[in-house]
Amino acid sequence: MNLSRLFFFLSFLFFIFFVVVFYQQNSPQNITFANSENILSKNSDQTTAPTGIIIPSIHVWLPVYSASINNGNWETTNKGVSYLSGSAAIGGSGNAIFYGHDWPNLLGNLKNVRPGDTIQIISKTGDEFFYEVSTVQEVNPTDVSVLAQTTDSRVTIYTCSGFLDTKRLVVVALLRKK
Amino acid sequence: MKKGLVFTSLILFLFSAKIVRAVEVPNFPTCSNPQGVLKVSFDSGVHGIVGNPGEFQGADHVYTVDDARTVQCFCSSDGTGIQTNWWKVSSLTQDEIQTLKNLGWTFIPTGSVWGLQDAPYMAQNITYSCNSGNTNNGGGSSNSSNSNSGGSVLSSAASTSSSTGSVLGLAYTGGTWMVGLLAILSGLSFVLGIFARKRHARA
Repeated sequence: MNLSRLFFFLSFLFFIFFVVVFYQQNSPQNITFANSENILSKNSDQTTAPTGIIIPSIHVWLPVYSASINNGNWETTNKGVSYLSGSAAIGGSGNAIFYGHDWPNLLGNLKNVRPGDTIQIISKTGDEFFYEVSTVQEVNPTDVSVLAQTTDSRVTIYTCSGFLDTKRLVVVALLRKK
Repeated sequence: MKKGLVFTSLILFLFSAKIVRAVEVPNFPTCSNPQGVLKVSFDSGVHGIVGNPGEFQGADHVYTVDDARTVQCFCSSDGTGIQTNWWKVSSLTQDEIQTLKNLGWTFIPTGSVWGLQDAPYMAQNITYSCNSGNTNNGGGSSNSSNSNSGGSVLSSAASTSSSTGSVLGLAYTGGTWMVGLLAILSGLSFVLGIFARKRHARA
């Protein structure tokens, strides 16, 4: 009898986790921004929108798709990395924001990036921009200050991390001058 | 008696959880994109980290977010970063201070010893990885052109990014495999429970 109770308790526990993770994945409230001007850039230029990202140190070569925030929902893709249109233009001043799933074929290895590594962004016009990783930090989903616009030229790339994907792994890289 | 014990444990747990929730810790910006006004900036040298004995060699930059919040971003020469969140806590009770200490915060009776205001502070250390040759506020390194100067002009952003009310958050990008796995485990455990109960009934 005790064994069956244990299994029923485990079943209940897993179900609670399932509900939490499912809600977290689908709830628009999780991704609402009160002040979107904080993360949208005046320097946004879609003619130089990125189309590819290369991170040699973790063998990442992925296409980039422009994404936006619709009614509080961040568009995502399972085919590559998302670039938040409205964030800074590549190569210009400001904070260009990228994000992707923590799947093995996408940004699952982002945790292995180290400061000093190179991140290469390819624009729609074929130009290449090289960034050097400055910081790698795990933050809470509510730490949206990482997305704030800046006066320097940087990219911020993030994915999920931590237990049940309750954290966000954020990599910040600064533009290398030619 | 067993039911009473479980019920009492549940009440105690909820009660203790309520105490933790009563201490509302403010959000602090991260050293990856420091916010606020740069108060102190050292590109090298020997520094102290609250709650950690010994001395630390590297760059150190301190940002004042507002009157109650200060963020210290230290980056050692080997790339180990320590972010220290300094929270001025003049109005916390002893119980609340103890609760925060139990969560890993360090209590400092007066911040003046650390170059802050003459008031009690709670400090929390968070580790991160940093580029020692690419410091937060530029200068003094071969990559000085790659300086992270995000904090120096974002005092206005700090006031809006700390707003409460709407839920703010980074998009959830986790895999659907987690959701599926949890559903499978839940179903499997339920079936095993039924199987175990039937087997016990037969016995």
